[in-house]
Amino acid sequence: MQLLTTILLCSVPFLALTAAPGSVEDQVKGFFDPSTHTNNWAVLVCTSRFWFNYRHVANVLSLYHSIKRLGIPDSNIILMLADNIPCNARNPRPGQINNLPGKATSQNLYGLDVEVDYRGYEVTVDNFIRVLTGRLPEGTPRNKRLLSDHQSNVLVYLSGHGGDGFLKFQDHMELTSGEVAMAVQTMAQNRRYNEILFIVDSCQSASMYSEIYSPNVVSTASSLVGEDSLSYTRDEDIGVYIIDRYAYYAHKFMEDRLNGPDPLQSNVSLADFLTTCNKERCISTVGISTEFYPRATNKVRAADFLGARKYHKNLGSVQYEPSSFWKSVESDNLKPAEEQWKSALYGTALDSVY
Amino acid sequence: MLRRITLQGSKTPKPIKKVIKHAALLAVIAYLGAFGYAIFATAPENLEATRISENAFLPGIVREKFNKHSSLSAFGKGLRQGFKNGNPNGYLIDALRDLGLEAASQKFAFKPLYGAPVSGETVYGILRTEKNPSVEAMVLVVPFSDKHEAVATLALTIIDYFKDQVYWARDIIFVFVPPEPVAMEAWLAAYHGFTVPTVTADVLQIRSGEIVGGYVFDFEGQYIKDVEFQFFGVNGRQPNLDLVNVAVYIAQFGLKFPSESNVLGLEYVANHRQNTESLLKSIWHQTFHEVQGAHSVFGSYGISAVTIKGKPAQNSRHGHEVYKFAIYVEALYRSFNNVLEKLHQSYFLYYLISPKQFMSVAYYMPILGCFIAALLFPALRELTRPAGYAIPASLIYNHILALGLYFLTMFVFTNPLAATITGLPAALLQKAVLLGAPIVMQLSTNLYPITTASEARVSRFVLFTEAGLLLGAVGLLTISPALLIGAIMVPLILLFTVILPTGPVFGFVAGIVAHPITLITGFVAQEPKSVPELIDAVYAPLASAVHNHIVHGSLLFPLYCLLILALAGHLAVIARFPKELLPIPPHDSDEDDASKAKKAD
Repeated sequence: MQLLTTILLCSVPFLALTAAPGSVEDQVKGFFDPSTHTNNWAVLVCTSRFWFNYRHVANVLSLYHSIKRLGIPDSNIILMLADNIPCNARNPRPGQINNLPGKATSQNLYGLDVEVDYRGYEVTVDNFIRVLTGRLPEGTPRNKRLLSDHQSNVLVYLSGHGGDGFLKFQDHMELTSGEVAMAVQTMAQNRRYNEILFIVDSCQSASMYSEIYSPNVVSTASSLVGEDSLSYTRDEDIGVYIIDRYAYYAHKFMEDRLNGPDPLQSNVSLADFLTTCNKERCISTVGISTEFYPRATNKVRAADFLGARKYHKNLGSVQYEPSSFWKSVESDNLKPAEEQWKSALYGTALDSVY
Repeated sequence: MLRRITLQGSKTPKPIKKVIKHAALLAVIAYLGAFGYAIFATAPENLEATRISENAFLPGIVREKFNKHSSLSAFGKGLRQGFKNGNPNGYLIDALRDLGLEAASQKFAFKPLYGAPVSGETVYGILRTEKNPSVEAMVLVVPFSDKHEAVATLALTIIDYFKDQVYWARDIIFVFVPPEPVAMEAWLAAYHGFTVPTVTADVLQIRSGEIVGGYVFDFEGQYIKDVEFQFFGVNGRQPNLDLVNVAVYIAQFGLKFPSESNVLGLEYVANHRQNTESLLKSIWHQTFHEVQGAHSVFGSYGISAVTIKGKPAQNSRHGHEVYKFAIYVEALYRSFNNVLEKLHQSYFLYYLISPKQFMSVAYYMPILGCFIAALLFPALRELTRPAGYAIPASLIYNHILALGLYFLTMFVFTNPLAATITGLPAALLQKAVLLGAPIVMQLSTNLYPITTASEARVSRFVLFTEAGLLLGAVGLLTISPALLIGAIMVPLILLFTVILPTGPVFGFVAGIVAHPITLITGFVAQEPKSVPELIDAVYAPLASAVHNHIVHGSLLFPLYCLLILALAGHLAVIARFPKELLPIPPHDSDEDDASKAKKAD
């Protein structure tokens, strides 16, 4: 009897805890570490040219569209494509590039909303390192600059052909793992990032991040040294392999898991993203390095690197005073000009303006 | 090491003395070793498996969408009508223009002083690529004659399908060429701005860019049992192995088309004896049937081309219909379209033993190396003989006569003045020059015999080294003639200089036996023939070698005339000089004599 009373009495605080409103949400809120960045940048690089490397461009563009959907604007993405695959003469669908076979199931990844910053022969090892380190010539336009600061999370994704310790650029240049490490260290010393997610998608790609020693860098690669990264599928109408396994499953992860009304708050951790391509799916072993990353990846939101929140400011309350020039413009005689414009724009896409 | 060299003085080192002593034996061992190595290298486990080295090809990935089956009968009817009207070329040009190609024709005439004249008209059409500048082209060649109606119909249907596609990265030139190789040579020469000697051909009216490569399709009849890949070329210029491998791969995996190469099929189970047979057949055919088809003449222009020859079947139960072949052609050209530049990744020097196994240059060169080694041991022996140094006149005369004979043959075969000067009919004159002149040259070696030992020594040394250099130099250019010459020449040289005794009698025998004309006669006389037939049978291969040299640039005839005949003359002269008069090279017993002499003292 006394035992029963004790048990009942002891259970009250527990019941109180569970019954208290907001405690579960507090628990969930406290599960993910609060993010330490204020803006997101991305550097997406396809390093190979030629028609038979169609899949590398498709890899990069798949990721590009996913991170744009999740909020990173074009002004914060440096997209480097070494070859113009959609306009290659061998493309039976000119102007299009797909990442899934068959027209019905996939969409064109090269629509009007793709802004390529470095194209063709501009994609060089030199330019890539200059982008990362910020040492670009005077006069380089803004869209070609990585203007990150000490509160930026930077996503770096490289896709192409590679080997033990190098990544092939174009057809005759190589980016070595030592150069990568030095570039990242330069970024660290110049406080050009808060955290970096460094992804390499090529054969033996784990060797590319093996020499990085800068803090707050989490690296991943599609295969370890001695392994080849494999392609996912081919398109039998086009006649090429159109996407690689790692890129396909990474893109699929972002589309399936980072979804919903507020994808940036979804309960998807960085560890989930890094391990999405297991041995069964990727066939090669995905390499992960958190050696210089202090936080536990299962407590870091994947969206910290893959998406960004856009902040809107309503300008409704601001009053604009037109300058005296515009006051002097006669507003009565605008009718004939309007008529002229109406007839000129009739039948075009802008005819709804008037 | 230097101390040892100074101590030994000017005496021949001991290992060299051993080699010299057994030079004849070593030479025979080396010669037999060549055959042993050839047998070893054709064992199935020692052959390499074929692979596609150019990553850009991506063969067999595309799903073929050929859908112009109905055009086959329409074009077939049109062509048959064209042949009935006697103007098939006119129908072709009209058909090509209706299909939207730029079409033109080239008339050519080959009027030799020997053999039958050939004249005709090559029709070709260019399908321009729309998205790239016209700086490169692929070819699709079909032989065109009344026997080749089916393949021409197929080509027109293929054009009908290809013209609708948007994905061509380079121009495609469709060439309907008369089956004689002269026609293809005339077209290619005109395309590249050359003229072929003794052939008059029109300048090409329309032209595309550099030809990257192509296929030649050849079959007769309506049904195809299987395909054979042919790739032998003039002067041993073979197409890039990738081109053949892609055709084999697509035939096997893409379409399950049975196919074979060098008489061995795709379903061939590796067998050592058949491999060796295939190698020997390749060597023979590459030397003597180097102009195998239209593809053979492309090599001289640096273009890779393979003939895909369909073997006819009686009916549909035993073979495949023509439209299946069209699907195969589509797959081939879709894959070839992906290639970025002239093929250079895979081998040019190879023997394709079976469709899936090949022997690359590194694996067949040791055969030639053994033949050359067999000549180097006796050469070393001659070098160390303590005879003097005197250049025999025969050495110079033989080569000058051989050169003169070459120019004489060229004059007689290409210049009508020869017949008018001598007053003889051209055919008789050509036979006399080609058969009689070498015999006269061989007999004339009696005029300048070797008289001294030093002349003999120099002559023998030059024979061995010249023969070895000949094999090496020819082998680097075109391996099959070198191997064949080595296999025949080396034992004859060894026999009449090292193994058998030499002297006037043996010299006479050598002069007759070790002569190319005798060897050819012996080969063709295996079937019983009357004397005029025999003369014609010996004349025919020599005349064909001259023809290939004049028209196709083959180097087999100059090789035979300038070098083989000269070497035969050398051999005859050397074999007449008695070996006993030659001083013995230094050997081990020298030291024994010297030490015995010392002891005696």
